[in-house]
Amino acid sequence: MSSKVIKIGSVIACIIVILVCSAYYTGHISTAVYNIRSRYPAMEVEDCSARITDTTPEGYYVNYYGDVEDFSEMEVVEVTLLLSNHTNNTASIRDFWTYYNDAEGYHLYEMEEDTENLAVSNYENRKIIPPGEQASLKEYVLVPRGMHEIMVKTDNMESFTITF
Amino acid sequence: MRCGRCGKNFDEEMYSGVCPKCGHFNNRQTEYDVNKYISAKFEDGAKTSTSAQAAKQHVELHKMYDSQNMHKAGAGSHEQLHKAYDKNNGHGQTAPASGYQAGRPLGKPNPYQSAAVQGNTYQAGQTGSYQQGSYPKQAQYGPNRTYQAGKNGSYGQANAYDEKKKKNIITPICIVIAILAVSVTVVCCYLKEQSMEETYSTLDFEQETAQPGELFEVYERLFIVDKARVVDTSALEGMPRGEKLVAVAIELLPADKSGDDDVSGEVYVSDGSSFKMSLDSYTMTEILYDGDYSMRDGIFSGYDFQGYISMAGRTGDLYFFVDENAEEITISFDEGNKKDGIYALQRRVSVSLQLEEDGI
Repeated sequence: MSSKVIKIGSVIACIIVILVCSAYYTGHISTAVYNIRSRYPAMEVEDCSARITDTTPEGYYVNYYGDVEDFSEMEVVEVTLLLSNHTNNTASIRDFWTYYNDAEGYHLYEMEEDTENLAVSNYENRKIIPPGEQASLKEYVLVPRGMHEIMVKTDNMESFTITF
Repeated sequence: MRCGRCGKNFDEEMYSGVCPKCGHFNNRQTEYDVNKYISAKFEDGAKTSTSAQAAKQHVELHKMYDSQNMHKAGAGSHEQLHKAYDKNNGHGQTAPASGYQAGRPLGKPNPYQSAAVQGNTYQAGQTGSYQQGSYPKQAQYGPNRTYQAGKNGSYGQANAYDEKKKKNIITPICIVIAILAVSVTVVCCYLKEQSMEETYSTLDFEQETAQPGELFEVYERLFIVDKARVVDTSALEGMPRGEKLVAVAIELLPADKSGDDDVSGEVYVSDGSSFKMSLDSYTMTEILYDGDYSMRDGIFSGYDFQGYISMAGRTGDLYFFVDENAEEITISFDEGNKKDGIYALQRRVSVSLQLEEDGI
């Protein structure tokens, strides 16, 4: 292979490498921007409390509770979480998920809000946490009578125990 | 014949020894002379050198010659080269393993003479024509001379070719540039990502407050938040439990020019326990006016406050559902800008409002 061919080949290969690098950089940054902008803001749990309610909350219902048929053996625990948003992105509370378990790891079911007959959906009537703000979230969990401790896991991989 | 420079096979007679590919003149006689010289045995004083030693001496001499840059094309005529060579004592006794022995008295045995190389340029021992500084014009520098650097001499040509090959710095430069490009890309991607993450998670904004009826600027537009009233929804169905509908009266003043497209933000209210986004104007038209969209002008949506909308100015209400026990709300306008492609909050203007009871 003559020297001239090597030189021309080197220059072409160099240009191709530079173009590929530019394309990679542009694509990588666009993807990163998209990922961050479409990311659910990571809300942090600042505080939490729980109490047993005497009555079933209005507008909530039990959607499913495994094989349990006798709900007289169950009671409702109102869990209040104080959430904060430390990002520049407005957080939507409906995007925050919690998972409740008993001490043995069995799943505890939450009561769901009845929005079927509402003129305004929860998406339109949206609860948010603006950047740098805190807001409370109330959830109702069905637990067997006599239980005084539940484990909470959030979608931020936070895990803690609430005693009531 | 095979070209001594590029290796192409060609018809020597047809091309008279000139390579059709690279133009190199292949002098078969010269090659013959060199080979003969290298393979010859010659006397060096009382010693008899082998062909290998002679070849080694030859190479040494060339190296010295090269160190003076004398094989290079354009370095001057052959005689000038010899002068330069003499100047550096290249022909002198001190020259390492000098086969030329230019300063040797005439008649003394000369390696070249012994080698009986016909047509060799440096037959100094025979004619004395190589005594330093005295080169006869008609010296026996015949056409078969070995050291015609840059012309026909095969060693010189090959050497020039080697130098040419050495000068190929484009390939290494390209390799370095390519490696640099890849490295810079990786580093830039990492730094940019870090910068975006920092922008996303770093809160640094100005908190301002305004009074009801006071003019303030946000999203590069001028606003007046007048009052907040509770809307009677007793005749409406499907209202959220435990909440009441609130209308906030807002006046958006005319603007001469549209704002920066990168400036954006959100409008929301706080009732003390939670934050709520404003309701969409289509939804509110459905609820309040049973889908009569001619009434929609009096209903704002959050995006109506962006700089490029409602340039002529507009007055209307923003609707929110707030806690039924709330007596005071705070409406906030967040203004942000894009930084590294990420929205970053810059300012927050808040107006506290007492709720007034009213009807539709």
